[in-house]
Parts: sequence; C-alpha cells; structure tokens
Amino acid sequence: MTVGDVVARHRVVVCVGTGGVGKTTLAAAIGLGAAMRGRRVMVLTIDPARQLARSLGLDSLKPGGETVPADALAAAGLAPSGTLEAGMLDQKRAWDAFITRHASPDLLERILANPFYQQLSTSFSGSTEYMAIEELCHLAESGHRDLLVLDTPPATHALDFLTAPERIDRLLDRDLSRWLTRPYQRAGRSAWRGAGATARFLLRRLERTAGRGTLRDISAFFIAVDAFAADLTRRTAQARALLYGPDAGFVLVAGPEQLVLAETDALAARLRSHRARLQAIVLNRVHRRGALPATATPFLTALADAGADAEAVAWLREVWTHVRDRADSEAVERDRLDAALPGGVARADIPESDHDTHSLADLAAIAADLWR
Amino acid sequence: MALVLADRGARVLAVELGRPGGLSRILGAVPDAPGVATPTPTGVPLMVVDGPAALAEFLTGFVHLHGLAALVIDHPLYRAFVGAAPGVRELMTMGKLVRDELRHRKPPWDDIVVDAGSSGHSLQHLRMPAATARAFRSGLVHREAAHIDEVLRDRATTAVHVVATPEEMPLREAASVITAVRAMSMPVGSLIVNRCRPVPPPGLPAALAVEPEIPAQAPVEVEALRALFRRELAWAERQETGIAGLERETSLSARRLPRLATAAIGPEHARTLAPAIEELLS
Repeated sequence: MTVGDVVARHRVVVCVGTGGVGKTTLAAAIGLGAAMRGRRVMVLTIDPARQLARSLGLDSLKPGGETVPADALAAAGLAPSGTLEAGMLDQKRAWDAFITRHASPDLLERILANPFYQQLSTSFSGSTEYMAIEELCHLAESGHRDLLVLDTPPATHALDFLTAPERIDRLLDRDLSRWLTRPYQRAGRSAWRGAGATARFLLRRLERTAGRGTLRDISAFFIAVDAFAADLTRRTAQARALLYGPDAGFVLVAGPEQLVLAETDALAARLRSHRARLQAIVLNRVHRRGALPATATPFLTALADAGADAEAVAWLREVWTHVRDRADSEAVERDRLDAALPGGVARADIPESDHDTHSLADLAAIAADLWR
Repeated sequence: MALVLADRGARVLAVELGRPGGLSRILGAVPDAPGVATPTPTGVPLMVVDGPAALAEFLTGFVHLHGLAALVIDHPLYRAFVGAAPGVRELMTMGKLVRDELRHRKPPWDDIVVDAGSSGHSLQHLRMPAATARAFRSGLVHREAAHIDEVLRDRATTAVHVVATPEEMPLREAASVITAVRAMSMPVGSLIVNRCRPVPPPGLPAALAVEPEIPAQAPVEVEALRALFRRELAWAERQETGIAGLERETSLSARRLPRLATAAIGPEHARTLAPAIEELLS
C-alpha cells in the first residue's frame, strides 16, 4: 500500500510530526498529488509558522483560502483533473466568523465588543486549535471539496488540536460556565452571599488574582456563549466523528535522525492513545548510498595528482565522508523504524532534494514518490 | 550551549518546555516530575516545565489558597478550566521560569538555557505574558504577567537566540521570527545557522572541471561522484547566498554550526559542536 492509496481512501488527511521535518511541504505535495488525480482539494495549515504559501509557490495566502492558479500549474507542466486550494487559519477572522455563524444578532454585538473576547480571538495561544476544529467542520460541510489536507503545528501542539473537541466540551460544561458566570450575575451574587465560607473565600481569592473587571468580562462572555452552547457541543461531536472516524487518516511525517524518530515514536503512541488512525509514515530528506561507489579515494587522488586546488580537494573529501557516514547512519535508524512498523501502515521515503523545495514542480516530484 | 556554559564553570539549568523530548534524550535523563531540576549524566541539570504543574505551584505559593490548594487543584472544574483555557499553559510556563528560577532571592543558576520549540509556538510563549497583562487589567494575574513580560524584554537578563537551518524557507522564517521578537521589544541574542556545509573554497568549480584519467575507478562511479559533488557545491552556494541575505535583512551576523555526519545524537555528538558554540558565546 502506498501513501497515495491512503490519501485516496480518505476525506480528511492530517499531517502530524515534530518540528522542522517538512510537514507543510508534505501536506502541500499530498494535496497536489490528489488534485492531479481528480480530487477537489483544500490544504489548510494551522501551523503559525505559515509556510504553506511558500511551499505552493504563492506569495501569500488569503485567510479564506486561495485556488492555486491554472497558469501556475501549467507553467510547472501540470494539468490536474481536480482542483487545489490552500488556506491558512487566521485566528481573529475564524473566531469572528464562528461567533457570527452561531450567535443571534444582539448577542453578536455584545460578544464582539467584549474585551476578554477581543484578547482571546487575537492573542491567546491555544485558541487557534479551537478554531481549526470549527473550520474543519465548516469546510467538510460545505461540500465544495472532497479532500481536506491539514497541516498541523509540531508534535505537542498537534495533539492540542486533536484534543480540542473534548477540551471545548469541558469548557462549555454547564457546571463550569455557571461557576465562572454566577458570581457576576445579580441573582448569582446573592446566591454566593448565601454560600458557604469556603466558596466565599475562593471567590475573594479569585477576584484578587484575576481582577474584578476581568472576571466581569469573562462572565459576560460565558453568559453570551451559553446561549448557543448546545450548538457548539453538537459541533464538537461532529469534529470528533470526522477526526476519529473512518474518513480521516493520519500521516506521520518524520526525518531519518535518531532524535526525530524517537520523538516520532512517542507521537505515534500518543496518536494511538487518542484513537487517531495512523495510516502512513513518511521519512523526509532521506540520504541514501544508492548509486554511490564504496570509495571516492581514487577519484580524489587523481584530482589532486592532476593539480586541482588542494583546498578544493580537501572540501570534496570532507563532503564525501559526511555523505557516506550520514547515509550509513540513517540506514540503521530506518531499519529500526521499519522493524517496529505496525501492520497496515504505509511507508514512504522522500530523498533529500538537489535544491530547496518551493515550486509546484518540486511538490509534484514529492507527490510522485508518495504515490509510487 | 548548556554543556559549554557548564564547562566554563557556570551553574546552568537546561529547560525543556511541555514534556520530555529532544533535550532529555541528548542530556540522558528524563525528569520524574515537571518543575524539578533533575541531575543528568552530563552534569547539567534538566528541568521540564509544564504549564498545568506550574499553575498548581502558582496557586499554592502565590494565590495563598493554603490548605484549600489541593482541594481546588483536584476539582474537575479546575482541571477542565486548566485544560481548556487558552494561553494558561504558556503563561504559567514562562511564569515558573521567571519567578522561581530567575528572580529567586538567591538565584540558584547563573544561566538558564531554554529549548523553546518551533518558531510559531516559541513566539506564542513570548507573547502570552503581554497578552495576559492586557486581558487582565488588574489583580495578581495582571501584575505577574506584566512582570514576566518586563523580564523577557530586559536585555540584561534575556536573549532570544534564533536558530535556523541553511535552506531558503527556514532562513526566511528566521528573518520573520527576528522581526516579531524585535516588534515585541525583546532582545535578539545570536542568529545561529545550524547544520551548515563547509564554505566552498573559490577553487572548487575549477577543481571539479578537471578530468583526469582514473584507471582505478569505473567511469559510472566517477560520474556518480561528480554528480554528488556538483549537487553539494550547488547547496553550499545557495547556503552562502541565503545566509548573506538573512544577514542583510536582519543586520545580524550569522553564527554557523557544522552539520553532524551521524543520524544518532547524544551528549558526545552535542559536544562536537562545542568549539563553534564557544566562538558564539565569546
């Protein structure tokens, strides 16, 4: 089974991996490969590093997504029978769209003006993951695409994304929101007055810690959101069904280094514990001995004897030693990975490229390896 | 960097954020609990700083919940809030470092080296204190967040070292990270380019153009070697162009670290970078 087969069987492909392994490039290549085979694809990045546009050879991405232009594809010698769009999650825009979709007009105005909401939707880390879930459901529902490829943030934060639905559920839990809102509603305030000494002590501490004004803002935000909490809970159930159901496949992207593979192992174990369906592992930027000879000594000696610059020959010798040792060392790590690979998981190696990968033609070459 | 500073005689703490990962593996020890400096075989203690654990410490030590702390921390509502509230983990992580390890009355460390993770999320860690200070306009959280932000912006205390690899996209990303760090008025330390190829000598293209008789090697092997060396030279040239561009854009001089010829990594491999790190720290 190839990685391409895995992509063909799913509506959602989630690319996860540790930092710096080339997830974004792989996500873009998967999207392009699927578009070449007739699918209507959206590649969405929630990685704040925002490399997707560069990978697709675009100057920038519009927050709502942008279609890779036919002339750019044609210039790269590509004529996909499907379509390829790329989008980047814009935290503020996604929050506002989300609130607009769910809140009634009077609530909408109150929420948008709420100071706590304004910070949450612009500056608070972690809230992006919540919005990615909403965006995922929205895109899946729209019916305009038949494959979503998600480029996630590195390792730990990718799992933040995966656990976002259950964390949203917990945040919207009635008991919790009541606890956060009650003291700042008039009726609630008097109820707290009647509460026990422990509860009053905690409230006083909370006020001293967070500041009364902020607690009032938070309270107002939760009161407003509570009006459509049931819709949100339904949404997170949809997200869970989509992410962990048969339509979604997880592709783990890694590098051939021991350190990266050890972290990849840990990530795979955590994916399994969340019941995410790991379908493929791709090793990126692999060095192989391949067609290289066992030695470069005769060649380098002949160059030196022919009067080639000594410094240049020393550089070539150093490079040769590096490439040879590196390829041998990686082979050991790759064999270890393959020996421990669970059944039914596709594997692909992407060789280190001759140049930086930032054009559609480069992505098409990677896609060819994934479908091979 | 931590190993080199310790070799110089400094009391160094290495810090990994979130959960044990690469740094734990390189230093050869996985801490049993977050927030505790754990000895490692290298002699450099390692601490994993985890947001929820740091928040629990904050509530116990600073909010003065006294005997109620355990009750609050074990409560399902508290756990739901900590798990779900955006930014709490990042803020508490930075708070733990600043409050307990750096601004301690008798600081136990001369240097704290933090492995802050990938660029996007490192920036979130750096941004959260200011964002929290804006969101919480008064109270202890406001004061704590403002204090952490102030320490992060203090040139005498903090340096944000930006590390990239010598390919186009990572170099461009490094430039945007530096712009973002400067926009937050935080001090940029070194610009480090890791895994660099050696600088190609000027005579290299001419050397590769020499076509001597090589009776001891098959022509197909010679051709494979020539292709490899041409590719390596092209990469090295792009590396030089990319680094020069980044230096121009950021007005910083890039410090280079060599690439390692092994896919394995442990303290002995990290130590091979020591001479380059020494130079960087001098």
